[in-house]
Amino acid sequence: MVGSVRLPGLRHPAPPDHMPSREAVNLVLICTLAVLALHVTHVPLWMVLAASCLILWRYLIDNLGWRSPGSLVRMLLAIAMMVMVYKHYQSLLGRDPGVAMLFGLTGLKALELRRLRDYLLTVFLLYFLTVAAFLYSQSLWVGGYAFLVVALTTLCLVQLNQPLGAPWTRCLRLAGGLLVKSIPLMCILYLLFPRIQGSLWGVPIDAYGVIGLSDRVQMGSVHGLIANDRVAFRVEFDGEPPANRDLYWRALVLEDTDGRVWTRRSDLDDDPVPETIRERGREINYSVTLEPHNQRWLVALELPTVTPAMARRRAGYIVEANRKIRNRFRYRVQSHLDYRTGPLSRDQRFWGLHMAKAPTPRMQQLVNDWRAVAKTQAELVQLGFNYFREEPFFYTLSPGDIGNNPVDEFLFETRRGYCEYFATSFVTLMRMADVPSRLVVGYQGGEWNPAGNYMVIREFDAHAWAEVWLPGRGWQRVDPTAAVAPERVELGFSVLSRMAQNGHAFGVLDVDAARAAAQSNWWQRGVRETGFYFDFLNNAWNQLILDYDVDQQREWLRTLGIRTPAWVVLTGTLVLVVVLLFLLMAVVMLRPRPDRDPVVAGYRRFCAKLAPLGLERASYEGPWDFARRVARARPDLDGEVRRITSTYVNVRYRNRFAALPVLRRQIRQFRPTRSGGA
Amino acid sequence: MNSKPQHEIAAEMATVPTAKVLRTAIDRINEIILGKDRSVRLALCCLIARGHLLIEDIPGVGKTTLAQTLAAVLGLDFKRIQFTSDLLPADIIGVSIFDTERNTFRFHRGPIFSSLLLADEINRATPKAQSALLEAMQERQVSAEGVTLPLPELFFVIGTQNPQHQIGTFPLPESQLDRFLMRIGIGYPDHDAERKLLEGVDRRTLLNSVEPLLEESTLRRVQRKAEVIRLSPALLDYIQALLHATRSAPWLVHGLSPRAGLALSHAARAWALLEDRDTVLPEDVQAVAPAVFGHRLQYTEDTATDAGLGLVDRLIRSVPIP
Repeated sequence: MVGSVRLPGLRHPAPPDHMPSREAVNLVLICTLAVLALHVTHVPLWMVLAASCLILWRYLIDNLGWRSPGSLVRMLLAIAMMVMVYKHYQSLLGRDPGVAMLFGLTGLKALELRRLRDYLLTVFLLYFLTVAAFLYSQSLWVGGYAFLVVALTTLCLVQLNQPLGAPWTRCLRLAGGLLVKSIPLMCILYLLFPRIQGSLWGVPIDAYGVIGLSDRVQMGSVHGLIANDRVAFRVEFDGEPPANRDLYWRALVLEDTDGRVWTRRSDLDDDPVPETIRERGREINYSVTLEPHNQRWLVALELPTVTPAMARRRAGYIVEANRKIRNRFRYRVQSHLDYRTGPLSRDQRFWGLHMAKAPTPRMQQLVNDWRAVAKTQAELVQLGFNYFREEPFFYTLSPGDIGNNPVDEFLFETRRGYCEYFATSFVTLMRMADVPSRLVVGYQGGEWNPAGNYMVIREFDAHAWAEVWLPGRGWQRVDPTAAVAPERVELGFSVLSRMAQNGHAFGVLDVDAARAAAQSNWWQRGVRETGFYFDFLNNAWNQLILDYDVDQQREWLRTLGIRTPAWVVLTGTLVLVVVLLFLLMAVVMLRPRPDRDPVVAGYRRFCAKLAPLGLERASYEGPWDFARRVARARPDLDGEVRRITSTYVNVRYRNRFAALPVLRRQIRQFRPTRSGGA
Repeated sequence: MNSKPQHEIAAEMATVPTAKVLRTAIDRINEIILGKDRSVRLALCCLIARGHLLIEDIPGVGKTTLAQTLAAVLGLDFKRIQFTSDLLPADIIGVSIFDTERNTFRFHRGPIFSSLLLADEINRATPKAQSALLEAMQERQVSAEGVTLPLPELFFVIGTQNPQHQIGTFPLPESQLDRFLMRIGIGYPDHDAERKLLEGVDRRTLLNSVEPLLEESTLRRVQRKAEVIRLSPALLDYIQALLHATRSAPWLVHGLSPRAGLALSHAARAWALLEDRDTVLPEDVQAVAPAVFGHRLQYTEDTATDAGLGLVDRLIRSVPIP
């Protein structure tokens, strides 16, 4: 320990390979458990149990005198562990088997702790395992916990390096000091370490597979999302957020179908150029922070009028990024809720009327009935919408199985389903009635987070609705789900799920009743409100820490005047800054510090207490000379000053170190008043 | 001087604690040398530290009396040499005279074979005579006629010199000055002391009535005791800082030698003993430093002498106590 205080009564420095104290041993075991806890979520259960048992064994050896296993037993355990890992992962290479192996061996190492060297090795292993946890998650919670664990590990390291019998307070102070000193280094590395395009560790966990909405929709496919409360994106509005029923977050438009599956035609011409969207009403500006989904679509309120940079508008007024979203992506969009689009291209009309197979007779009959009544296409659409409202359709999250002709079966037999059932059926019916229409998927609604003043949209807010083209008005949204279960659209899904928690069914209540049914008790409310704060913290962590990527780094460096942050330049800067930092630390640490001597520091405090009284000790003034001078000026202080000086002289010049606490106490209690009482 | 009938008192003092012995001795000396407590203490300190003393002052302030009183009170064998320009080394060391009865040369010991030698007006003698004394002071032995004779274990030289009237003198070179542990002045007595002096009996008469308080063995015990006074690392730091300051100060011609540092530590130990302490404090160092360093340091010529502050005091003020 550079610059450590030389205290009397302690052996100093410690011999290099002594047996650590019992406290240090227990601390290392506790610390090992704390680090292993970081990996419990992704290491196989048997491994967790095995490692825990090994650490417990070690504890029993120390405390109950159990026998310590021989090297052969330890060897066999290690081999067994390796075989198990191989059987579990079919490999010993890669992230998962590697971490699992490290996890197990750390537990096994507990049986091998004998000399200081073993302990130090374990401590460094623990640091490594802590870092390895970031390969799995970089969330605020893991980060915060990892910080605590690092602090604990550092305390272990300090404790191991202290001579036996060193007080805990000193270990804590040293460990705290080390951590504080590491903070500037951490900041520099964070800001300057060359960033790799992609996730920090090159393993984009969150974007391994396609997550969230898919561009292939069939009845029941959104169901997987319904139970998923993962955050899809967060939105910050510049002004007031629109009402929930207007929050249609458009992601994909599906035109093509084979009768069951709806897919996207990526070869379609772009929709009419933006000018033909007749923008009316107020414009809504907002920022979206999209969680990675490994696809290119971005979400925007209907209809987006100004697209973000790095993205462009595609057919169906959807916004597509230039590359797949593998990292959290933040962008700004502008939308108009009230819009009219222009005429329809030939392609668009063709695909807007595309049918996969001939409709069943009862479907045809239904549409024919409508056509007989309706004079215009708008009336036809209205009739279709009314059909869902008036017939006994039920909004449910658990519709039964559906057969080969899903639309027909749903319309006339099961009549139970959720958004995509209604939307796909509606689009099919409209196309039969020669109204150009298409399926739109995205999200509907969202939950307002009052803690951070932003809106959270989760996967279970996923939604599908229909869009019809009417002459003179262009593409218009029709949401048949709203006809069946208005509360879904009015209140949003999170309210509905609360309603379900309280034991109510969907679709049988009007909006107000549904809202009442979703009333939470104080406990649920408390949990929800706490959740808002957690999400707010999480969001801040994401935006401030995790989203610092290549682009932001480049921008930051540009403000420093580094125009071309090539990899080499960046590394050079990093090395330079770190070297400078170390030099600075060396200068600070190696400068002569008489104050580090607790005796001198104490005496200086004593003199500092006298200085305001006009009794300043000259640097060359001996302690007794000073004491006599003080006594002359302030006879009332004579006794106390004499006592302190005597103790100081004893400690400093007579090597009576044991009197140091006395000196400290005397100086602490010394409170000279400004004017002499006597 | 060393009248043996007094050995009873001396034997009694041998069992008394050092501090009390020294206090009594100082009191006794102060009865004769009036109002010169500090000079007396420094002289005693010098003796305890086994060093030689140089008293530099004008005639008539009591240089000789101080030396005589010290010798009388401490029960030392006292000799005096008046240094003149025709003084020969043999006058100091002794001379071999042919003994007609035994038909051999017999060495007659000179005045140097004493416990306390007063070398009066040391700068009046020729360098040859000076160096004979100074060599003996350093070596604590005398070589004469090819024989080496040890000097007494207690051997203490008090040199005096007059700083004025330098015509016809041979100022001691720096290397010789270094042989003296301390150089002190005595100075004029203050008003009361001088009145007492004028009123009282002649000091010489008084001196004759002084009975020795100690015997040599007691003084040696005191000297050994001074050697084991504790000198803590913190204090060694301070002494080194002082030495270092002399070596880097632009207003000094040259810095101090390690021997000067050693001299300071010995003197400080003796001073601490006089103060009845078992540990040296910075104050002790500061008390003896002017006497120990004064004759070893020299202002550079262009240094304006500062207002009333001695050279060593200036040095002390420039070095913080670590």
